[in-house]
Amino acid sequence: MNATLSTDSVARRTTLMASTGRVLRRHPEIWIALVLWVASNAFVTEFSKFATWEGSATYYSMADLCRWDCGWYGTVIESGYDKTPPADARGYTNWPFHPLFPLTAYPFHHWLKLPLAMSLVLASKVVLLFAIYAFLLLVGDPADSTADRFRAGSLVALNPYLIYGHAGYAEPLYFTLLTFAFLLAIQRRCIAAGVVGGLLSVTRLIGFLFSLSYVVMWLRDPRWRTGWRRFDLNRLVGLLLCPLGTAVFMLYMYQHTGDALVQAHVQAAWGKSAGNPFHILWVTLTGHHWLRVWGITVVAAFAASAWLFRLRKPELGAYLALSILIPISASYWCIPRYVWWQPPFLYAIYFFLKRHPAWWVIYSTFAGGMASFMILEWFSGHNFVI
Amino acid sequence: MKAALQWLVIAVLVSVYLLTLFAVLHPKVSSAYRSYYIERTTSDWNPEHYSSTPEEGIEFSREGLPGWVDSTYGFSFRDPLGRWTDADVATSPGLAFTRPFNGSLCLKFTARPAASVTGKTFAVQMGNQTKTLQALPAHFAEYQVEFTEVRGADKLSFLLPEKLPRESEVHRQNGDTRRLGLELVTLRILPGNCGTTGAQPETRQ
Repeated sequence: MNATLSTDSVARRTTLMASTGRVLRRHPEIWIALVLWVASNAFVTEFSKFATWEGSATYYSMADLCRWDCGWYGTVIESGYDKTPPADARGYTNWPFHPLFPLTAYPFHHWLKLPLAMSLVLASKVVLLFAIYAFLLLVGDPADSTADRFRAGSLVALNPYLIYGHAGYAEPLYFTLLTFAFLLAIQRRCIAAGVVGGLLSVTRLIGFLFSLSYVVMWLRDPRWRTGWRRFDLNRLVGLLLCPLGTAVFMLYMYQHTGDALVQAHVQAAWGKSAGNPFHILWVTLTGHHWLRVWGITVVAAFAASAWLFRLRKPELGAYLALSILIPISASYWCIPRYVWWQPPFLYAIYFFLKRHPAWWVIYSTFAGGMASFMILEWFSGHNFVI
Repeated sequence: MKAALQWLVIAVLVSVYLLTLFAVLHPKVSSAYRSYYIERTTSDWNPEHYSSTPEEGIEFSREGLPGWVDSTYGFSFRDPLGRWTDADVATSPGLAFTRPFNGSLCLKFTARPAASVTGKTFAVQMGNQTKTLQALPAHFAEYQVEFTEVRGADKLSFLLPEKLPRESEVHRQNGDTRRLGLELVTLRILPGNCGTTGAQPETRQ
């Protein structure tokens, strides 16, 4: 009897392993994403430890990575959005922080009873795996070798600003949703693209811009141009779904605070107001130190946008240009992470490096150096890392 | 049937967007919120008020506002020395009072000008009177302004030169994008003219 049970269980395990093997062979992106995700985690852990040994960092567990905006997201989980701003001189409040990322940390905190900081860091780390996987699908070609796929995935997993993928920030979620939204739109799965776009628009302020890329893809679709009389209503439904998250969040905040545009207005507390983006770019380029680095990063993003148009990917190019133009019109703060966590930017880098493989060495040197430096500085307390 | 369902979904989504548009156009906020977050005419959100008289004055580096000052407008954030005016926040910075001032008054304030304002003239307006001063090149200087027969002055405004440049335009290595005018350290309002209050009778020092 026992021998029969044991034989059955061995058979079941063998079948499971065989089917898993088949799936992984058919979808190598899965195991490549997993390997790169582990490497990314090891990289961050290792350099966080180095920062503790040689700097003033205090890294004892992954929860210690939760700093800056991570704390704001924590307040959203703990007590929801402020009804009115606290009575301090600047009126800082948690209104600029969109709800979808803290919602992904909610199960870790409330169901698994993990500490708040740990929940937020864990949520961003888990979503990073999907970000790598999604990017592999976006840039993937059936003819690609395993090495090609590893190189593509490394652009996300070992990003120069990878610290934001591990620190309880919304960047990995935003990256994942935007990449899947583009993928689904390319596959003409209108409703699914709209739903993901809707989720994207409630992850970061600029998420609603995907609506524009959706329209560009729609208009460029040869099926639409040749057969526009046979109008597919699903396309329109998909388009209307794209900014739905923004609209619903605005209505919620209107009911909660009385101001639907609270996310724009609250920028007053941080001294940000809409202005001429090219003036702010000029300020950064004529400035020194980090300002100039950030200015060059913005110029690189615009160059990548133009390159994407040349690659006949206007939906990616337009999204990248606008998603940088909007934040730079208010401030140059946070610009590097806004640029380096844009799928179209990494897409442009990947295809540039594919055409010019000799540049991989230069890129990898820069990415590795910058990534390790940013992890060390993450614990420094300097606000240039926000 | 499928088309009817699709049109129904489209109608619902369009309704949500129309409702959002209505919400955007009809904010239900307090006047303090509107001034600080929407119109950005005041520089402090919901400030705490501390006990002080106009004669004792206001220290701009101190958190909160004295009881006789309702709100400030056109000022940047506090720094250890005081507060800079920022033309991006409001073109005419100043103070709004909790009560109107009348009669003869002596205004004393300590300030320093930004590089782009040094040597230029600016004005101080209180109620129905405006006095012109010159921004002194000194690091910090005490200015005295005498107002006679002020009527119902419920605010004090500094009328600075127009189109102030950003600091980053004046000093290329500076990443500060504010349009700085004056940095105010202290400000007092004394009854009577400056001569009787022990202050110098001229409008500038």
